[in-house]
Amino acid sequence: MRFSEAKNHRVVSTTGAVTVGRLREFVVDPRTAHVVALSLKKTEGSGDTLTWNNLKAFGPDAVTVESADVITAAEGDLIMMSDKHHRILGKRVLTEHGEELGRVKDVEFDPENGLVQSLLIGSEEISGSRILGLGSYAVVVRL
Amino acid sequence: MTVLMRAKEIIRRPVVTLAGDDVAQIKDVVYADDQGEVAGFTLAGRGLFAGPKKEALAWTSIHAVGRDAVMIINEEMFDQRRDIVDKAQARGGNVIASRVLTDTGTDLGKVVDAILEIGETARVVGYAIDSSEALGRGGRTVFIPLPDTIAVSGEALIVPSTAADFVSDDLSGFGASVQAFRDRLRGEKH
Amino acid sequence: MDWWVWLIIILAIVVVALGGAIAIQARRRSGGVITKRSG
Repeated sequence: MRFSEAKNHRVVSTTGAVTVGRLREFVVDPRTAHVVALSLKKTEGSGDTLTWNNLKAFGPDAVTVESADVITAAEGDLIMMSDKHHRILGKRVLTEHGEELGRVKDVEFDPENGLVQSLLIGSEEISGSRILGLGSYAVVVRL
Repeated sequence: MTVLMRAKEIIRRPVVTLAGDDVAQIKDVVYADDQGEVAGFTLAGRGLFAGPKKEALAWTSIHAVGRDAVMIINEEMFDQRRDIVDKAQARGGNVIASRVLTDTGTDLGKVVDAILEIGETARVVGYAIDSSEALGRGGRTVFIPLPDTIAVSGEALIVPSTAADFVSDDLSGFGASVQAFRDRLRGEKH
Repeated sequence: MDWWVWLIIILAIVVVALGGAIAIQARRRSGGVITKRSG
């Protein structure tokens, strides 16, 4: 599945059968090349972060959770990874040798486990295993 | 594998960590005048109101110099500026805009750039000159190989009179020029 | 009439000061090619 296909996914609680939020951003951990959380908008409470292991399923049309209780505020490393400077979509892609390859137009990921399979930059596909870091300036990839 | 690069292309290039943060930009290229070996770079901050940084980068602290960024492993690789260049050298030692003068007293033009050869090591291999009439190139930019044995300062670059024979109009001919020039100088010493 | 004339003058001074600071810092960030053991 691609990030672009899940852009406005509703987050639905299976116990309450109601929408408890909407997907705003994917939070990616460059150390593991996985989506580790989802930043949400339009949530009931003050929480806006849904960690990957707290979601039931990421389907083609919606994300399901047990209940809205699992939506909390970001903690620890998640705080930095969730901020707007660390969003992967649109980010410049730089090799570890200092060459710009383009910008991230879309991301192919596995909805079963959150693995970032590849970064799509238009001219080429870059395997997620090449990701070395994701910072405010660029996502750095191995050669 | 080595590449030739103009110093002016590297100046202002962002310094990026492998974690993806642009932590500085290149300010000066600092090199030793005898063999042209690059000692390192001084740095400036990024952003509209940023000034020079007291941190610098020795050549050995750099992970890679690329077309779009200078890469370092992380911010712990920074060195201190005073270890790379001292204040007096920094103030008076900029060769850009120095006059190029032969040891026989002919003005060949003004230095506008330095040419770096970058591989495992980095060195200045020559200069780009806005040429005067004495070079007969119609005032265009020409390239001159770094002489082994003549003095240079922030004021003037002194070259042997024979350097004019090894000037090239474009960088592509430059590789051969450097070697031919050094061979000739070595021959003349005997 | 008076108070907004002062406001414009102050804003103009701020713009010039900011512009000056931006230019000065750009100059301070500019670099060259420094030779060690010069002269």
